[in-house]
Amino acid sequence: MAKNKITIQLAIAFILIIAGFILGRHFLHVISEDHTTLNLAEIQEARLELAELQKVREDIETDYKNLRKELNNLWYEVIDEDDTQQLELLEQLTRTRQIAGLTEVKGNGVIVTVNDKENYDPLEDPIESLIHDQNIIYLIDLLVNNGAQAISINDLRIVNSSHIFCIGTTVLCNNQRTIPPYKIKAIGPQEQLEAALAADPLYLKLQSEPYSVRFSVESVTDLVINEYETPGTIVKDIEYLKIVTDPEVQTKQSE
Amino acid sequence: MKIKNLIIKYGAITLIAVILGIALALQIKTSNVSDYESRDLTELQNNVRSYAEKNAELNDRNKELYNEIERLRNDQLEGNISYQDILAEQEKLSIFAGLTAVQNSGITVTLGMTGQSMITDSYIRFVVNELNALGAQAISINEQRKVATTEIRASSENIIINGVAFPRSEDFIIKAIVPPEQQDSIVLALETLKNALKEQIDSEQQIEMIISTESKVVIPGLNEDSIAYKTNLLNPVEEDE
Repeated sequence: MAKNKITIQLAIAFILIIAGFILGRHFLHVISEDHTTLNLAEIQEARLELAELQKVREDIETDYKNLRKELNNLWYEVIDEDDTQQLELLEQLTRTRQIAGLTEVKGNGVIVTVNDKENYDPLEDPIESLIHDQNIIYLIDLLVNNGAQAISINDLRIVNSSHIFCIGTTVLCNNQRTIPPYKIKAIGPQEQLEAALAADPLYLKLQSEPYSVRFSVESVTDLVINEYETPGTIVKDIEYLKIVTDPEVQTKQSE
Repeated sequence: MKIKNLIIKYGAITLIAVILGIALALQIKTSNVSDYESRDLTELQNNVRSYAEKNAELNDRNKELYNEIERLRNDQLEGNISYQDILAEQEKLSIFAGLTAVQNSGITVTLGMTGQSMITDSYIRFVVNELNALGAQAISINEQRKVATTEIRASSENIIINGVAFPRSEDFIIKAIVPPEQQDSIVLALETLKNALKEQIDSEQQIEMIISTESKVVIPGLNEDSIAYKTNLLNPVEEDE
């Protein structure tokens, strides 16, 4: 009988401890309720601000395209039409701009979308369930090795000076923060790109349990890939590169 | 009577326990929702900041272009067209595109394997990607300039770089021009990468990685006809519109 009494008392003590815990949590939650309401208002405000900034970006991009077109046409207006040397120089400049990734291009290709595991829980899910810089660099290498001729990540064109690395939960590319889902566009031989992506062992593993990374590939006709957005930074991108004056080295490169 | 009392007691305790369980579950769910809201807000705020900064940068780019157009128009009116500008632009873009040979102080990494082992393409990519992430402005692998579309892939006993085959049994020499003030920290980062790669590989196949700083590194330019510059699948958007 005494044993029963002790059991009941222990059970009540246990329940009271849990009740104390819940009361404590609830108290803290009530205190932070104002903060949560504020959070929701802030989220709404940030969303509106972002939409406005996206609209401004579109206008800036349209202006840029018009200005670039105007400048290109203007050069052809001001040069002497009969001077083939001048015409060649302009054509060479156009070609260099294209191979440097400074022009918007169009062609058949693929869009690869990668994203973290849905409802990622840092306490339960493995770290591989999150998309890191290395996963993106790996995909770019895979696409390049299978013939991709132009690539962008979330519409940021990959050029020679593109550095990709993680900052917290975001990825920095071309000095711009970009967040998941990562849309990687590539123009290249579609079938080869699709086959390589479908058979890639790393992404096959990451898509399976327990990682469950979200991954999809879409073939697109006339896929448009943006030009490198910040030609103003080119001077900084090549700050430490001095032209080789040794004629032997210059000759060697073109062999 | 005693039994009835006991049943009531146990029943009450069970009921309280069930109610507390539900309350606990609800409480945890509510706090999880708050966590998600905070994360969403941080991400949104980061995005807003990033967009605003980038828009300012892009506006400056447009202003530069506008000024260039104005200058060219004025020169045209005054009959004073200077082709030096277009030549300078061509030179700058050639360096950026990797068409021109460049030099400066930098880092050399010699990568090889001990014994009969052959190097894999992924080790070369690890080093190149690390150098790239650390801010290298020009990179070459066995005198092949690395550009955005340079392939580095193994094919049987060779590694193909820009369409050129190099035997996997031989050392690969990777050169990079890096910001001079960051040379020491880049060497440290590469040493860390070396140790990480060594840990990945079993003891019978050891990777050899010699890292050195150089006062002069020469990186060749890539020929315009190289496979890495193939643009046969790319069409300019402007022409179609």
